[in-house]
Amino acid sequence: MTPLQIVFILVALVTIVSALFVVSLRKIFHAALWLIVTLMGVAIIFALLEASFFAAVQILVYIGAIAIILIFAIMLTRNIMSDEEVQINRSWGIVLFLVLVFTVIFISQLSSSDVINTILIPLEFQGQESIIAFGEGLLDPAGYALPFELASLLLLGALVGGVYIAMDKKGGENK
Amino acid sequence: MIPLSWYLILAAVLFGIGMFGAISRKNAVAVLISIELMLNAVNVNILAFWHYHSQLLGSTEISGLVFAAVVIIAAAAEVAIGLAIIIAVYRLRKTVVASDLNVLKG
Amino acid sequence: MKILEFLSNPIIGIEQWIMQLLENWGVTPEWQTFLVYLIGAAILGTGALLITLILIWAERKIIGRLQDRLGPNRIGPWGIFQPVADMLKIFIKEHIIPDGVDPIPYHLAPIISVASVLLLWSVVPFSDSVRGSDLNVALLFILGVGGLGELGVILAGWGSNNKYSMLSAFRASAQMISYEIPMAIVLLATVILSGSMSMGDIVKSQNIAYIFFLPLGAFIFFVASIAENGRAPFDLAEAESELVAGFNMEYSGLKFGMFYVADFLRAFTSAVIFSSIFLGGWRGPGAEQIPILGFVYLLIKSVIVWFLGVWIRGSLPRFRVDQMMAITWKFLTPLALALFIAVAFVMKLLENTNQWLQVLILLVINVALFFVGFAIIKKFEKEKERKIVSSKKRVLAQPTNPFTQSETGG
Repeated sequence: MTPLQIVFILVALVTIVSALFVVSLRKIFHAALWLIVTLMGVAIIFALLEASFFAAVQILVYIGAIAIILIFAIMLTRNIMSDEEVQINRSWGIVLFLVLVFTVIFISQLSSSDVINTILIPLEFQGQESIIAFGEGLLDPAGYALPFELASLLLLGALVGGVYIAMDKKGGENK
Repeated sequence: MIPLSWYLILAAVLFGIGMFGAISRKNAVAVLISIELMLNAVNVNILAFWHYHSQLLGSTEISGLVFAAVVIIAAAAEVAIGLAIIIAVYRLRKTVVASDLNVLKG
Repeated sequence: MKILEFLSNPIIGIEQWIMQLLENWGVTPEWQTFLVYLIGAAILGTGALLITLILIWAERKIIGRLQDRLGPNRIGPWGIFQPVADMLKIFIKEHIIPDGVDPIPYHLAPIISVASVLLLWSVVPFSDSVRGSDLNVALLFILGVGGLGELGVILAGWGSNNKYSMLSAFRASAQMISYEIPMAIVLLATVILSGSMSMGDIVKSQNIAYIFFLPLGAFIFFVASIAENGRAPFDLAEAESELVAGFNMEYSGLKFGMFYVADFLRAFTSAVIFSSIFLGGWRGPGAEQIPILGFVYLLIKSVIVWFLGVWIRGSLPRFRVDQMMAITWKFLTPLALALFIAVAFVMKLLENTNQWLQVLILLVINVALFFVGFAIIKKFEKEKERKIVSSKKRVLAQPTNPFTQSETGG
């Protein structure tokens, strides 16, 4: 077993275990903290896949912004008694069964195809090549400039909508 | 060296866990957290296939990176708006339990 | 001659000696690299923590002198052993854990705070070939990991089971999140100038230091990094005279020591990063041939920047929370955006001309932007003048003093 494989197995185990904690803990603040561990594990997986830009963006955007806004929302919507009740719906048995069926089918089909079993070797290009190509592709009209513009419009809409929803109706502004 | 299937299995398991959480949790913020898990699993999948295609091609395959970037952008926007809505609903109805918000139910 | 060669590049020499040793023991090359990296990371982390001892003493002495007093001078000559006494005291204090704390966030918060600062040391280039790791997205890494500090603050505030801690944690994390934005935009402008996000490339491409290209950017980055750190004049989160100690109120002993170390070390770390990005890092006369000189240059430059930070800390009064938010959202962020657009335009138009011409034009634009921004702020300031409350004598709720016979008790 190469060191890289051992690292992958460790990180995958940590990610899956913390994901299990995320969906099953009763206190939702702890669930958010385990989400942060999961996101960090996914960032390490991105780094193993040599998508270094996305590893950094995952830490910066997901952990540095989304997880913190989730924690703020949890703190702002706390009820005194809501951490003591059962946090799972009544339908959890059926959902668990269906999810297990889906996952087992998926994994069994995955291990048999030839394409899927190719070994991923480290890529040969190094340095800034992939990021430069990514940047140029995002702004190229024959490339992906349209999705880029649409994504920024989506963010603008989210920004304006968020401010509007959270605004005090008396006319003051609540950031 | 790590086979592609290992990454896909990890993504599938994460997706399944996220799906379980999204359907069977009561708290609305917990549902959003599970949706974030699902989106991360999708991202792992996309970037695993990006690596595979870049390896076949010999140079960077940009569409994988763009796809993953758009997923991250959409997830960020969705979390922001979703939480704004949850906080607004909490101010009005004083509850975040998803099954209590049933005013529109027939 | 071999001694001189070793001395001029000691770290590479030690690394090669260790790898030779491991090879003789029969370790495969992959594990060799892994072990060498592990040892290097341990040395870097320990070294960064040991620098804190000197920093604590130096900062207290300098602030003392700025405030017209002597600073620590009892323990050892010029108080040099004061940090040792501090560390001993912190180590042997009792860990008082308040009732009802959430154990996981409470105990994790100091660890995350220190970890996020130590991780920043891993991308700083100390010389041409010596650095922790050559990430090709090092700038994003700096932004992201610097943002993990906010997580430590929020966990500390929540875990303390204390309303005032939580309020202070909200304010502190809002401050840290808001000041990340101008930092990110100015770093983007730097990437335009250097064409790469890797710190090693940024330092190598600074034939003329970027502070001459972007003085306004350097100013914005400096102010934003002081605010990220939470030092005066932005220290409203732990305003020692107001909110008791803010989010680290319920911590005692070594856990508080971790927050303390994170605070002081972060100041020096942002000075190191500032001098790598804007002042040329390890570049200087003779640094390419003798790598140890590069290390010395980096140290000198970052000490100068750090001293500037300490000077500002000892001189300026604290900001109010709305002033602090107004500075970032209404002044720094629009200015950083305007700077970024201007740099993008100018660098595209002047792509292949002489570097000094670029510097000159960018300098003029920077200064112009700064004055325009300032004028706009001043104009808006005039519109928000406060109304004077009526200046008649107000009736005071006091019984009339029979001896002085005044009607308002004034």
